[in-house]
Amino acid sequence: MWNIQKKQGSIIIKCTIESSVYCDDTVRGKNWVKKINSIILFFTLFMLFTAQYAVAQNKTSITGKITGISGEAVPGINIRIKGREVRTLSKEDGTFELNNLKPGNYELLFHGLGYKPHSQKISLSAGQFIKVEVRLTEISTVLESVTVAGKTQAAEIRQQAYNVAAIDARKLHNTTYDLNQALNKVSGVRIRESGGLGSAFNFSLNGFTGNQVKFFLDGIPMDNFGTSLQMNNIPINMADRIEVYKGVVPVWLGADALGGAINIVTNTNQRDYLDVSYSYGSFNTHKSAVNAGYTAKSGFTVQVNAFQNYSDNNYKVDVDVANLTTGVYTPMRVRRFHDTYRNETVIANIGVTGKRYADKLLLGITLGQNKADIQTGNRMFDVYGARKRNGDIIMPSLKYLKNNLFIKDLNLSLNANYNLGHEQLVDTVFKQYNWLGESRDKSTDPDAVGGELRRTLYKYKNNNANITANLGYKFLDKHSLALNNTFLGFNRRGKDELDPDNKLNMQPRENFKNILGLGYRYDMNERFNASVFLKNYNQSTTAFQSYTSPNAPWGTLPNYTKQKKSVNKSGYGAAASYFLNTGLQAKASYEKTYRLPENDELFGNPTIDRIENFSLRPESSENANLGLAYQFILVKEHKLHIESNFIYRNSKDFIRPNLTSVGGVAMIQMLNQQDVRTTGIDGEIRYTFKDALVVGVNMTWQNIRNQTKYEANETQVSQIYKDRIPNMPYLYGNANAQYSIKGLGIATNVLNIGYNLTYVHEYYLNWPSQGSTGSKLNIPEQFQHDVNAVYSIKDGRYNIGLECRNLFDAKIYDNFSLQKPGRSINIKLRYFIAGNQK
Amino acid sequence: MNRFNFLLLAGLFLGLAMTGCSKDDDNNSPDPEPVGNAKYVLAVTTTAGGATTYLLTTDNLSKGTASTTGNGTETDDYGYIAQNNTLFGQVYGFSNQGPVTAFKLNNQGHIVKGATLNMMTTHAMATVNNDDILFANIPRDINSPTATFTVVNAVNPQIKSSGSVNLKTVANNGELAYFTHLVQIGNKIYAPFMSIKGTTGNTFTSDYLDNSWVAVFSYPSMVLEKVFKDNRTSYIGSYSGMNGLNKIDNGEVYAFSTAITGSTKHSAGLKINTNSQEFDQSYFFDIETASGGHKYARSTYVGGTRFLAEMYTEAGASTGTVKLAILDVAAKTVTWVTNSPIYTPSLFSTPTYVEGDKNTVNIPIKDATGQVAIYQVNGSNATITKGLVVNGAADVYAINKLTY
Repeated sequence: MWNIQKKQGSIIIKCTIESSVYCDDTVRGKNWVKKINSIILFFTLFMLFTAQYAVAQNKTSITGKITGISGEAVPGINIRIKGREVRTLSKEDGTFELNNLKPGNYELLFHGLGYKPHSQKISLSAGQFIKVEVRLTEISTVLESVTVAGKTQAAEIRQQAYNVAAIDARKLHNTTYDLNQALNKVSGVRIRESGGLGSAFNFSLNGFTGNQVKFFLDGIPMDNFGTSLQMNNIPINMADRIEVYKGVVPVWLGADALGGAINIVTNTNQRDYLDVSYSYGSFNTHKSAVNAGYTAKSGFTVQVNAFQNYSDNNYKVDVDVANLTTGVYTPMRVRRFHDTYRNETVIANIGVTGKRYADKLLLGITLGQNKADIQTGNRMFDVYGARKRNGDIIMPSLKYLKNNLFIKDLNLSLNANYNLGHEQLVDTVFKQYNWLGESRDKSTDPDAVGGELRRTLYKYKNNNANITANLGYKFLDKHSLALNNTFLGFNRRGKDELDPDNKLNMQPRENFKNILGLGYRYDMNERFNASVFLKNYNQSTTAFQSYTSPNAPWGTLPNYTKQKKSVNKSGYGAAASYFLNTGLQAKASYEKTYRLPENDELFGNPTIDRIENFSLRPESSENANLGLAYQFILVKEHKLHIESNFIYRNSKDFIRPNLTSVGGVAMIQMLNQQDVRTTGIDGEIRYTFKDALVVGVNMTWQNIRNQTKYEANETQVSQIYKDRIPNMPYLYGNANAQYSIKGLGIATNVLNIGYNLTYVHEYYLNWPSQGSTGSKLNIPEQFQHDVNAVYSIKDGRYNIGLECRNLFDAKIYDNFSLQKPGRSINIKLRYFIAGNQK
Repeated sequence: MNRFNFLLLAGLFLGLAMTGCSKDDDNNSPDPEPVGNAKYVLAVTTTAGGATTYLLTTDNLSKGTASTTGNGTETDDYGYIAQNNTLFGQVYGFSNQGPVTAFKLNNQGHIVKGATLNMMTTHAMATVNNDDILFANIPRDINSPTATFTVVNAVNPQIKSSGSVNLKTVANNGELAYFTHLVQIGNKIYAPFMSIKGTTGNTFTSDYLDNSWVAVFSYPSMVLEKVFKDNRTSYIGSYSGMNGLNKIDNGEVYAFSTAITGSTKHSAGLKINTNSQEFDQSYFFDIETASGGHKYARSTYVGGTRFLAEMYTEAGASTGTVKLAILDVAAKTVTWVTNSPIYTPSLFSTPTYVEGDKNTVNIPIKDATGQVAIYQVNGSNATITKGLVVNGAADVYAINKLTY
């Protein structure tokens, strides 16, 4: 069972597990005493704070390699020292290292999904290097799929009691996906884009849309980043992992999220890394990204994420082209001509890691801009040729992280940022365009001015501030508390240089939102854990009320009076997870949650004819989830993972746009209009064969019904009571397959070939019960096939990817009548190196 | 797990997927007995102020029930106008341009969709002669004051000509002229307008509420020929009300004003001398006094010298609920319609349909319980009866009659 080899002052211990699960033998290394070296310590999830940076002569280190039954390297295994906050993960090649250890007796614990836990005792003398070889037994292994991976971190996230999906984004780093496209593969998620790169998108999670689902970047709310840093332009290479919490949101993501939350975790684990990629694709699409980080021995840290996107989006569409003189339509297939999108963004962080006063202290700045041509409105016939929007982000930020603050196991993290960016809408050309790019002056008078829709140069600044603080405390081994406070400030100031004296634009529009959450978690043992939490939502709005005395003459300009309003609500929830046996997990969660009205809903937006409504109540929902996940080995090397989740949502007071008449003029006003009940089920099956083939399928079915029995001011039961909510996909799914050929050419080269199918069942634009079926407007059934191939050289250092999306050039509509790109081909080149790779 | 079980599981998912498919609702409209070869076409929305309209056909507006559940042609359109036995629906919906769609009845009396024509967003429209429709895009922004007109051939849908005018020039008082509607008078187009500031937040406010104006355009060139005004009452018609100025059977032209709160004048009716293109100074119909203090909201010409008018129920108010009355421009009388319901008028304009007898007016009214029905008003004896109930309707945008 033992092979001990002496090799130049270091010990190699091979522990094979033929007869026993655990290998408990210890090694006494006192006979090999040497001087201790010191190296700066780091670990993946938490930065350990070091007491000294002694020249490397006094500390010991442990290196090792973890292999599985057939000798294959096992990455992603969690290695930690029992009783210490020292931990690391095994790398791609199965190796790991733990540095800067004082001499003494340690027990190494090895944990990883699919493997039986293992522990190993080790005794270290001063100056000793120990090399450990560990062989683990599988219980059942789940190998990575293209989209939802079983990497330990992602798997740990998925095993939480919450209804959560985790995407291992690292698996997608060789693709040209942006975050939206990666998310579209998760069950329950539906991203609807209105066009190509950079186009407006609508995100829905189990039927909750728009502001009902909140987005986070490393736990920091993305609400207020503006258009220059958004889900539709952030490259996948910036993300390590994407977490999707459905219906019940943990306390550390502070938000008023009615339907769930998405957290994008960026690549902050490694100290030194460089990830450079460039892709070129159809429609003159260029995307490049650089993600780099450097941490010096002194702890000085620099991290840079920079990316750019550009596309002409000139894909072909089938439209009715209007003759501008006669008005007669002719159906034609034309190229989009006014849809260019470009954005450039840099996020830079400088600071220190691993200091006594801070595990991480980073000052950062995000600078970015985007410009988008507006080709259409909500319908393809509403075509523009000059209208456009642009935005920028100028956001200084601060990140602070300190573990074991004052006392052990009390961890604090603090994030603050302030966005000084602008958004602008430009519409100054007084012409009418058609789909051929032809135009016609709207007036015979050459001096006449106007716009295509409405003349404007309205520019506004939202002055968004955000401060997020998280405090965590572990005690008595099994208990932990989490406290989160998220503050969001908003103060819109806008001006239209074409209308500078406009008093309405000068009125105050301030909104302060504070969410305080307190959670408690009990980890009884490896099988069972449970959490309960409370959240408080507080919103304070300062706005204006336009007031005219009823007796005043009609022409009198209204007085604007300042108005303050406060809303305070409390929510609560619980989650529990239980492993019935290894591989079979049951989980349940519940939350009573609120969404506070957004700024655009409260204050309106003159550029889109939306008026204010300061009396909006928060939306509320009672969300419940029940899930079951089972993974097991069918036959040796053939593994299966089956998962199903049942959801129930009982929501009230949905805020919806309503057409209203203000002095006879048509305007939109947001009202608390709708009660909705949702029941749904989603399921996923994933089959893996060795680590060569992965095949998966997932399907979501959601039954979202209108529960508003009586429309406003009416006493008869609404005709659409219990009707399915319109314009919302209710049955959709994904299927994918990926095949890996290792050692193609050279041993360290891998060729991955993948296929993905997205299916969306047809659904109606309007209330299903109304109108005769044959005449109803609908979004047709969608089948989209994508294929890709990635060739990786030298263990992933150099990568070439080739993708073809929408292989069969199908007409894809995420929204009624708005066509998305046809077949497109992209090629991506990527270079990736991390500091620990040899 | 073996392959069979795998398929079973997949089948289970498929089964679940099937239950998600929606079932067709049964068509539950009563079978109409064929009554001649004409049908009434109602444009109905199901949610208050909703943009989706359903076109329902019915033989009889004076009795029975109709419903949009499972019935009616779903359209993306908003405003409707009929010409040449064709219903034209045009898209408003906050877009800069969109199709005008022609709807006709086929041999079975069902709605069929015909040709579409590209048009700028329309704020006012009128039928001209027997073949034409005039559309106007009227901005309300003082910084871009040009209105555009488009003349369309309704028989063979095509744009015939277009024109434009600077609304600041038309108003000639520093504000914008906002046409309340367009009416063909002889071979001219009369466009009564209100004066508006046109700035964001104060769009429809004005410093000039004590005048009536009419702009006269030549047709079809849409060149501004003249603006004439009066100072005895306020502006004619109301925003998107598409009413206020009418030519009656004997050739005379009358115009009505609400005289909204803020004006010092009374709600009144004026007469226009079409030869001189001026208001007749010898004619003044003080509606407000004749009605006992109530202001005029909207009206429809019935026949002879009679109009069916919606009058505000609160004395002196120019908002709120209304009830019905018959106005006689010759006798200068206001006769309340007996047992008229009191209701909130339709959001933008009041659609009506006057029968060939030039006496019966069909008008959709939403009562206090929220139920919408088509009522029939007798123009000579000022009585009203409740007719077709339209279930599921929040608003009726248009009533027209088409033959087949």
